[in-house]
Amino acid sequence: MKRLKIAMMSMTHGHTRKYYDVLKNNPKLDWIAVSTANEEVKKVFLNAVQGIPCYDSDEAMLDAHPEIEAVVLASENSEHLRQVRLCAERKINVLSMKVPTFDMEEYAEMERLIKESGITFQIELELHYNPVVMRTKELVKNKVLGEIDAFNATNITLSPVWAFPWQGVPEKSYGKRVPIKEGHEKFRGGALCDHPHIFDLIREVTGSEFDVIFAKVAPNMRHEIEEEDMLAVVGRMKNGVIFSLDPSWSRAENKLKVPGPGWEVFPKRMEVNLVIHGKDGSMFTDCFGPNTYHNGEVKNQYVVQYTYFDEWVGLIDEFVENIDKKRMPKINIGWHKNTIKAMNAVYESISTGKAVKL
Amino acid sequence: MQKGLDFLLSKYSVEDKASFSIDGKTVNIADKTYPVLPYESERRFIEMRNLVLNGRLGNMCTYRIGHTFKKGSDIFEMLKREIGILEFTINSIVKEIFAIASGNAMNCIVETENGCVCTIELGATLENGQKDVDKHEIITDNGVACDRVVDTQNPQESIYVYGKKELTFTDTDAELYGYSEMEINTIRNAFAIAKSKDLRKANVEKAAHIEKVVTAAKVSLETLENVKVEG
Repeated sequence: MKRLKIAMMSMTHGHTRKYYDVLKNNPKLDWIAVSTANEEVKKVFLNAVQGIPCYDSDEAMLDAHPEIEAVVLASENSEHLRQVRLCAERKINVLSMKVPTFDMEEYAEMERLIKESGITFQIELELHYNPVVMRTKELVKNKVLGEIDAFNATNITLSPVWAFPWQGVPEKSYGKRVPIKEGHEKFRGGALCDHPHIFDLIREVTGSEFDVIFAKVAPNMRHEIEEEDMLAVVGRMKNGVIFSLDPSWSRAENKLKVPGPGWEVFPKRMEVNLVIHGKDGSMFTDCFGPNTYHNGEVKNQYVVQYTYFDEWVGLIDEFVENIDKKRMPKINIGWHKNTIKAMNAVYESISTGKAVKL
Repeated sequence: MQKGLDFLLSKYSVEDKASFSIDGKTVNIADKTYPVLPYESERRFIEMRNLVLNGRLGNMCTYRIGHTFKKGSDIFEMLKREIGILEFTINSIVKEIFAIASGNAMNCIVETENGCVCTIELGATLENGQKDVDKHEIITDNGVACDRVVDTQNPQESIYVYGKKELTFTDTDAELYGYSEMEINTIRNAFAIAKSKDLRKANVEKAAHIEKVVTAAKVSLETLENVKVEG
C-alpha cells in the first residue's frame, strides 16, 4: 500500500497535538517532518513526539523533503495564505485548520491558488466525524422530528489564549485589529474565531443557508484579554429555520502554557450541545458526552475525563481518500465560504447593532 | 460483528485473521479459541484504568459497582463481567469474596490483592426493552472516579428524542458506527487480541481466573463464608 507522505507546519494551533497519534498510527500515512514557528512550540513538540525531523521554517522543511505530498497547516490564521501559497507552488495537498482566513480578498486568493494548482484543500471541521453528530444528522434526515423549526447550539469552551497566545492577538486570529464595536475596549478575534463548527453544522443539518443574523457581545469574563470572549447569536436560515448559537469562551480555565491536567476550572472544558425543535418533537444532543468523571485532578477539582474523542481518525481517513481518488473534500474552500461570511456577519451585527441580511 | 472485525483487520493490515464464535463470546485466531473480554475495550473503563495507572487517583480504598439488568439473565454471567471490570480498571485481581443472594438479586463484597474492598450489587429485574443501569465508582485516598456524572442515577445518553416516540442514542465509535455499544466493545476487543499475541494469552488467563472467582462466590452463597479464591 502506498502511504501518503505528510508533514505539519507551524505547530502553534490548539489542535496540533490531536494529530500526533493519528499521523503515527494511520497505516496510510508516512509522517515525514514538521516545521515549528518558534522555540516554544518546538520544545513542546520535541517533548511529545520523538523520531520526526523538526525544522525551523516551512521552506527549510519543504526544501529538505521534496517527497512531501500533503501538509497539515497547524498554524495561526494569519499564516494560512502564505502557507497555502507555499504548498500550491509545490503542488502539495493541504489540510487547513478551521478558519482559512476572515479576509474575503485573501479567501478569494486562496480559492484561486487551489484551483490553479489543482491541489486537494480540505478544512478541518472535526465534528463531521463525531458519531453523535452522524446520528443527529441521520435522525433529522429521516424526519424523526418532522420539519425543523429551530436549531440551537452551543460551542462553548475554555479560552485557549494562555496556551496558544496567537488566539489572543487580533492580528493573528482575526487578521487585523478591529474594535468589536464603537467605544468598546475589545477587538474582534476571540471566541467567535475559535468556534466555526456550529455555523457550519447548521448549514448541513438544515440544508439551507444563512438569511438573517443578529448578535450581541456580552461583557468579558476575562478582563485581561484584548478580544471578545462572550457573545450571543440568533437569526434565521433561508428556509425559515430559526437558530440560537453560542460560540463563547464561557468555561473558566487556569492559565497553563501547555494543556494538561488542571487546565479547566469549570469541570467540562468543551461542550457542543444541540437542541433541535421540529413539527413533531425535539431532540437534545450532547456531542461530547456522556464521559467518565473524577476529582483526581490538580487541587482535586471535579472534572470530565473526555472518553470518546476520535474525530481525527475519520478526518484523516477522508483526507487521504480525497487525495487518492482526486475527490472534492466535503468541507472544501467553496463550501466553507458561507460559514466564514456568516461569522463575519456576526461581527458586523455586533458592530452596527442591527440584524445583517445575507 | 464479523463484518466490523474484518473491516478493522483489513484497514489496519493485521496479518492474523480472526473469526467470532456464533455467540460472540470467543474468537478463533490461527485455529485457537480465545475468550473475548469486551469491557477491556470499553472506553469508559479504559479511561478509569488510565486514571489509576497514571497515578491521578491515589491508593485504593473502596470500589462501588452496581448493575441492574434484564430479568431472567444469568446472574453469574453478570458477576463475571463485573469482576472483570473491577480487575481491569484497578489492575489488581480478586483474592476473596463473600456473596449473598435473594430472588433476582445478589450482593458481594470482594477484596483485591491491592487491598481494595469492593461491593458488587446485582439485580436481574428489568423488563424487555429497558436499558441496563450500571455504575462503577473507584474511591481512593486522592479522589473518586466514576462512569456516571454526579447527581444522576441513570446512565446518561448522547441524544434524547422527545417526539411521537421517545428515543435515546449513545454512539461512541465513528469507525464502527451503527453497531450497538456491546457489539463495538466486542469487536474492538477481538481486534485487539488479533493484533497482539500477548493479549491472547492474557485473555485466557484472566477468563480462567474470573471463573475461579465465580466458583468461590457460589461456595460463599452455600456456606455464608468469606471464601478465598484459588491461586
